[in-house]
Amino acid sequence: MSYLDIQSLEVRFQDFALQHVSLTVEQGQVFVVLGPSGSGKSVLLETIAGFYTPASGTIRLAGRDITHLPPEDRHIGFMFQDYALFPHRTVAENVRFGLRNRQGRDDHTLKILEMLGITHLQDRKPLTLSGGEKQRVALARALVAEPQLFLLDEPLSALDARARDAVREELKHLLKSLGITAVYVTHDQTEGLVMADRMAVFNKGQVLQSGLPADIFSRPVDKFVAYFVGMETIVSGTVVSNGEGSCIVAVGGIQMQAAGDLSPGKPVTVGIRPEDVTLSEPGANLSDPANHLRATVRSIVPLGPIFKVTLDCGFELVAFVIKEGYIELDLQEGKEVVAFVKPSAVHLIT
Amino acid sequence: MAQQLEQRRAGWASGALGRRSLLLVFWAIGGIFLFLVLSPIVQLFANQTPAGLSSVAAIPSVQSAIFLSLATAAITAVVAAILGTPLAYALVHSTFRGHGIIDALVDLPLAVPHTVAGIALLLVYGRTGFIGGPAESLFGLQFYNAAIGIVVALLFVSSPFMINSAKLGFASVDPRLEKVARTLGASPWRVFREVSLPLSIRSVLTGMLLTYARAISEIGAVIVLAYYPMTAPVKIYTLFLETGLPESSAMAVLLLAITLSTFMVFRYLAYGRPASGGKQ
Repeated sequence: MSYLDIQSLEVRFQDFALQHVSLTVEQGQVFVVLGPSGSGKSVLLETIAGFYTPASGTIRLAGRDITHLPPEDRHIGFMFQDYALFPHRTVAENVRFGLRNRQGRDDHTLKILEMLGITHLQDRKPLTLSGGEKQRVALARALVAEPQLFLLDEPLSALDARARDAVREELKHLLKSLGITAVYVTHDQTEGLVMADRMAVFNKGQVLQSGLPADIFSRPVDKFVAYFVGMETIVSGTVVSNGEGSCIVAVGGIQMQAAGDLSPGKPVTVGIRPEDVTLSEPGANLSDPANHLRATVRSIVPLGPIFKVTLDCGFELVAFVIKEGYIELDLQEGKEVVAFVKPSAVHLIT
Repeated sequence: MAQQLEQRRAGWASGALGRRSLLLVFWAIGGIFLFLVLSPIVQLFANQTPAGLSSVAAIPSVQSAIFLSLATAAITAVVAAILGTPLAYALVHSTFRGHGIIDALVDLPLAVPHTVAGIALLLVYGRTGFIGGPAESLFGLQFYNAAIGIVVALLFVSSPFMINSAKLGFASVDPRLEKVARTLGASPWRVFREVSLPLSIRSVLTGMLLTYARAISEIGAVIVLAYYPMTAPVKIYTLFLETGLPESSAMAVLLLAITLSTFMVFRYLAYGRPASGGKQ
């Protein structure tokens, strides 16, 4: 049996429900639940922590059925979005709150403060701390209670973009080096990809797909998952012919080669990640085995270091272009280009 | 809070003309209100002579009435906090059907004329009331015309101030703080003691202060249930009826001055600093 084993969990509210949520997490793994806001991710976490009573289903942690235990008896650490530090207590007092065994309390607290490099903050009040510092304090406070499982609810979304990248790496390193088993909730696919050993995409109170992040990102099971893991191009098509592990699909009046062996006539959804599309001048390198699609630039949106280019090639195709390519191709609206997409990057969702 | 204040001041300093004229008009309207409130009180103080004040202050029944008012108001504030704080917490955290009705009932004393409250209290705590009767025959405890009756009346009329203020405090505690405390192994009792209550303590103290102020000013309910021993407002009223304005207004000024100073002291004790007080 898995370390954390959740079986067909159901929680009902007046206007919302978790529906038959099952997931398993092995010891030492970080399991990411990826979903939009309002999808019920937080409810799932708070149910695991013991704040909602499931209508049915079971939650087992380290072989123990905890479905009906109160939160204080579950030994589960919780890290909220804004870290929920007690504002009326100093850092040291916050951390000591979690001590279950009151003996040797100061030694243990000090050790953990030291480990997280926040000893110098111990007399400060939370209001005076930066986002990254608050997170370490929250982590220290949870660690002191010696949890068997960590739940993290969007732990980076309260930080500004610059701090987020640094804290994300640090958090990942800490979780891994301490061997923490965690369920990590986020709406950010990049964050999810960085943190996850395994992952589930969640929407409307249900798990839509779970597995290895690479599998979910390359083989989404439906349109929602495809969209949510960053496939910008999602269009309907039909399989025309097949053979030798690949097939030809008709999309928006043109034909493309795709990986996968599907029977002709089958309607499919075609998903293409924008980073898998490369652009070049018309007429260039047509011997490339990739699909080459004649396209017209419809719009260009700068997204920090890259440009999001929307093309018309019979259907709407989105590509990411780095600045160098943008200058070299002299991209502008109305420009004719060729878009290359490898067959393996043309994902067919049935 | 301080930041908001700074921002507001900065907006003022930048001298947006429209904003300035808006504030001017609002101060002018507000001035009418302030005049309405302050003019009788200023006049009350202006009418006094030191001789008149000291002669009234020397009357034993005046002294005992003022002392009784301060004492019963202080006791009321403490009892209200002991009884009202748990109720406020329960109201904020309960989800059962119908707790909204209890919520509304809490405000009822605000809408009941205080003489009506006094009569209703008399029916319960009077000599033949269902509590007053047994209390007297079993324990010799008399509410009618007794200090404890005064406290009961004061509790009735001031309870909404205590409960609503504490409710505001408990409702403003981030539920995530209470949740995270549970995950750290704290029982609901410990969470209340170490998280919810400390974070709401200012609101509870504010409730006590409002209760104290309301209790000192009460006459309607008190006069019906306990005409004697006389609280200060009752004594002022009888002085007014018996001797007219000079003595009653002199005692009124004494009561106001003493009340204000005790109010300042409590405020200081509660918030740690005079007048400017409030939350940080």
